Amino acid sequence: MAPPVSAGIGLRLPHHATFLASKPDTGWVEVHSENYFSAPALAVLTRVREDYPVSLHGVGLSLGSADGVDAAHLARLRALAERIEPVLVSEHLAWTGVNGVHLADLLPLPLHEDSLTLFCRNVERTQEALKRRILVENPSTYLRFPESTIPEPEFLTELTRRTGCGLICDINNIHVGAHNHGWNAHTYLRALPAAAVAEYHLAGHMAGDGATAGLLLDTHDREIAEPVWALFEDALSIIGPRPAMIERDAHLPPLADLLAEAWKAQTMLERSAANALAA
Amino acid sequence: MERRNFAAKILAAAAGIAAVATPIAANAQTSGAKLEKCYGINAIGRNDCAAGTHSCAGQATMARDPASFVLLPTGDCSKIAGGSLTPGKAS
Amino acid sequence: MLSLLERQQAFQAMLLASSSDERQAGIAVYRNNIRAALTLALRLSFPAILRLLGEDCFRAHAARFICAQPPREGDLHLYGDAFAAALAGSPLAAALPYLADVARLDWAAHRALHAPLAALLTPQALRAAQGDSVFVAQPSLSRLTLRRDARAIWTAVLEQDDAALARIVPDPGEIHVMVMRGLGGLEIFEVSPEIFAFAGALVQGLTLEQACAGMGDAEAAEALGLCLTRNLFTGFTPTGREELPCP
Repeated sequence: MAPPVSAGIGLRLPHHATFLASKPDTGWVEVHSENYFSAPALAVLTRVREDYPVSLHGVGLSLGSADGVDAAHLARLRALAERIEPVLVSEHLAWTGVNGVHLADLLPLPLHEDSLTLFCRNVERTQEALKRRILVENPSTYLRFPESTIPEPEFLTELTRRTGCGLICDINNIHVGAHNHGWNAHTYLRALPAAAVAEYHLAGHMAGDGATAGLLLDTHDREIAEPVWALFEDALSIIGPRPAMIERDAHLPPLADLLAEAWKAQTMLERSAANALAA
Repeated sequence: MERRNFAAKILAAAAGIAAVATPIAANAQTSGAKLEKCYGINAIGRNDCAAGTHSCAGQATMARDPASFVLLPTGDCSKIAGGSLTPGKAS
Repeated sequence: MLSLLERQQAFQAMLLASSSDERQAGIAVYRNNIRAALTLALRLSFPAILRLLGEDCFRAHAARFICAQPPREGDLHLYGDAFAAALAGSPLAAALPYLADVARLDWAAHRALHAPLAALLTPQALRAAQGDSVFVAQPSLSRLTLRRDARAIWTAVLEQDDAALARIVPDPGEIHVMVMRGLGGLEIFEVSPEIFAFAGALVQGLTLEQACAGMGDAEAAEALGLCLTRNLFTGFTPTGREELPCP
């Protein structure tokens, strides 16, 4: 069970009515799991699921919390997954709080042997509860911890090796991380285990100013930038074609604009697949 | 036994009352529907934000502990008769 | 080296501190993201409070609340159940005595609107109940005891009815209100203190017999009948216990 190797869009609540009424031509959709813990939104998603493959993308499970995964949250996610039968379930290489607190942001994880062991344990617990493989996404980060000893792509590689989980390769997050931390984006892409990458994410970003000057911010509030499209092209040749998803969360444009970006990604995917066949 | 009969009598009478009562929902006498839209149901995904999606992310820094004047209401509470606040009541 | 737990505790404390050194741009990003996401969640769940206080005042009180009582759940629909109590304890409460009760109405309405609509208990099904049956409330149901003016203010503010707001006179008298999601959407209705107490006993898991204690047959039947008419319950569980202690 996997989404088609095609472009999908992130379905957000303001687009629900238009989406249901127009049933647009998109291969699949992805939603933020926690928004559908609420009954009215779940009713809409149930209808969407009748016609489209749905991917559940979590933002609140906090797989990187040192005190483990919240059992109640995991139970709600399991109930949602049983109802929706998603093609994919994913989360982030991040934590959102500790000691029972949840701060509603994807916080950076120190990357070392202890955090890897902990993260693997939380991923395994989630996969056991959901009775399926999950995907873990590379996050956008704005600072690094001095105690980190493992580069992010190696951490993700080892995570997939130990838990059998897959990866979302977020192209924009790699671009943002490369700028913020001085990484080489191509080195990062080559270091990822291509066989474990099961999905791409594409989104817009902006340059920080004032207190955040000097950083690129993963804002999901605008069109995908040209350098990110170029990096996607490179990822397609390094890793290969995979289902790709257009994420927009703030300043939502008309649904048609998102579909146009998905169409661009679709064209690139098809070209990449054709090239792979010809080679 | 006494207690069981007691309950049965109440249940039968209650069921009778409920069965003949006009269903409240059908009356739609509450103004609930008008108020619902204020809560943004199906309008905004509050869990979207966790994905680092804040358009304001690059703007103002988080406020320090707010200055006391900011803690004074300036909204509709002033429209309530006798509801206006004098500065200093809220510190 | 800091252990992971120590690092996360320290980092979290820094993000929640009312002020911090934001010369490090990365920290400013996370602090902003958190403040923005949690303030948005509170704005969506407390629309009447937002309008009453105005933008700046709401943000300031939200900011204090976020630092003092951050979410305990990874789903922001659940964030804010303590906001009314925080407002009740703020200096605002002295000047705006209705404020916390308006917040309770906001929270009850928010809860109701996001709750599932469960099956209704029908009069036919009720006949199978026993004295020791325990009733199951609609998941959307909230029972509130409020100042009388709070409900009028809440309604007028959300309907943006300035004329109604101008007519409101302070009234600290108590009313008992039920808020729930019904077939037609959000339902808010006032009930008598007797019905409020009776429904409350059932909601809190007392048996039917215990809830009826001290009531005459006709009175108890009327109270239960009203609860059914209002669709407060989805069903009941026979407990199967033999005898109940006499109330």
